[in-house]
Amino acid sequence: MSALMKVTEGGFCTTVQDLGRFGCQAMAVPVCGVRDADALRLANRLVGNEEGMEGLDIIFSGPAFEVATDSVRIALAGAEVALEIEVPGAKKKRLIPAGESVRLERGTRFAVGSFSNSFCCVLAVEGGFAVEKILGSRCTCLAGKFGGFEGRRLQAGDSLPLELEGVVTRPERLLAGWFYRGGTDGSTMIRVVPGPQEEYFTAEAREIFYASRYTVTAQSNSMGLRLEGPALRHSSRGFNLVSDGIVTGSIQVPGNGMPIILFNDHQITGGYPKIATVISSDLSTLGRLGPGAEIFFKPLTAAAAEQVRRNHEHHFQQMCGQICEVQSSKEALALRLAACNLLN
Amino acid sequence: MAVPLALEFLSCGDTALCVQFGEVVDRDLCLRVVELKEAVSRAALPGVVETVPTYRSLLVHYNPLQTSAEELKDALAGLVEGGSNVEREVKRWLMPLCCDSEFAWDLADLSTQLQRSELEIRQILFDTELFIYMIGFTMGLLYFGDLPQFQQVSRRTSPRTKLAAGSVAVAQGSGVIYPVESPGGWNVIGNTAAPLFDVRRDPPSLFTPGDTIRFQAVGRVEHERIAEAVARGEYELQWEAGK
Repeated sequence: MSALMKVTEGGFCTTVQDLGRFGCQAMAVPVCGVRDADALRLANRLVGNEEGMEGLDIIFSGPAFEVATDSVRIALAGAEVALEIEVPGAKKKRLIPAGESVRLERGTRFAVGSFSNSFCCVLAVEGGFAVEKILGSRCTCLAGKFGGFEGRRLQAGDSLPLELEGVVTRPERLLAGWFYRGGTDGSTMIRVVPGPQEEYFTAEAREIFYASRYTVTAQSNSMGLRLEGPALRHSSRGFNLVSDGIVTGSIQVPGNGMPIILFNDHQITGGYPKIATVISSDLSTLGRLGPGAEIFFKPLTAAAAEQVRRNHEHHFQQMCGQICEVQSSKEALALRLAACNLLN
Repeated sequence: MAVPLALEFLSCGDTALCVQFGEVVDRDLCLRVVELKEAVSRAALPGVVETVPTYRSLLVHYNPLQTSAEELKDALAGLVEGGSNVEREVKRWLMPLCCDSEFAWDLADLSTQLQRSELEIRQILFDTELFIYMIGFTMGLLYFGDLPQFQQVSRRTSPRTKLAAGSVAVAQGSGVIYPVESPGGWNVIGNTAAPLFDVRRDPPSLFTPGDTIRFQAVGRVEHERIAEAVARGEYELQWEAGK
């Protein structure tokens, strides 16, 4: 028998993603991967997967499903959002907030609720999805129309194949503190390492870049976040380079002076000067930003950025150490309230 | 090698380091990049995730939990010093190219621009052993040169939204081959049915910078036959060993 999750609503853009397809960039195969890597790693920990297993990358609005296998265990992470689970015979839905795993049985219908404090969230499923591994990864490459589920976003009517037909009953896992938050409120600081082509910009442009606020525009997608703000003038060296390598987080500035932060699905090489590169620890933060979000840049040296990343990993593991097991939904609620200082 | 070496290490955040050999299009410079890629691969430096060669630089992706840019700079500088003794197998690819009017959308345009006959233009393409500079942009796009006769040809002012997979196009003394259907602004002068890029093959592209291409003229019927054989997985692109 096949293990499936039937898609009853696809959501705005829901794709199967892992931490990215590495190793083939020299052949110009884009890395892709989940927008909020921290959220995927956490959601996987909650359902008992390896941190890097594929999950669903959910952008802007949530999909809905029906369990078409004996049972599944799922968890959300990355935003203030809840699983809305239909209970047969009851009007009220059962809500499981992000940061908590839940086991659902055959026939259960559930939806990922609305979220506004992040542009995206992640749903992990115990055991992952039974989709083809291509060049070492199960992530979807939308531009290349391959990987994940048929190389595309999910839509109503799809049947998403699962690795496991059923999962055992066991205490569910919960991260009570929820001190890992998404957030698009106010201005977000994005730390960068200057370069690799700083000298292609005037001294004034470099000053403006670090002193100004930029807005993520609606023309953004998973290939790049197009920003709007004060234009950055190129120096006498112009703005055409002989093609050079690009990383996720490269901030390239074409002739119009408006920066573009290249994101997960970015092209592998490009010919525009890059003023700075977003540090790896802030890429998840960047992934959580949607159109309208305001950001500003803070420069760090590469050595400092490497240290920030090491600290980031340390904090992440510390946070995962706070995951506890709960025997009942009552206990889960008590833990959540305690974490909010509403209950001792 | 004849290239005056202006080696520079450029910061690309905390997970990549760019080793820049120069800022121009030059075969020897490109070969230095390829040599370093080979040397890095053989040295199996701890923390190196993968490397991406371009016309003039090698981008070294690394894991900052396992190494650092400072550590890598030392190791890479050492490899550049001792890197020129790498024996790399160069493949001289023989690639079928169909320049029927159905595929050569911009040949007439080019003929007007260059004041040369279409036959002459085709002849230049078939008579030149072309050098692969880079697999870049996205999905195995192949960049080749050198075609100094086409130096004055600019890209189209309005790029086409859809070019067929296998399109071969030129501009500013260089050429590209589009392995998958994509938008593009170069001047299309033919189509190859050769297997160029397939993510279900590892590696997905057959080509390496430093290899060469010689186009072989094929007619419409032969082009179709090759395309069908490729689809069945029964076509092997021919190459000769070079140096």
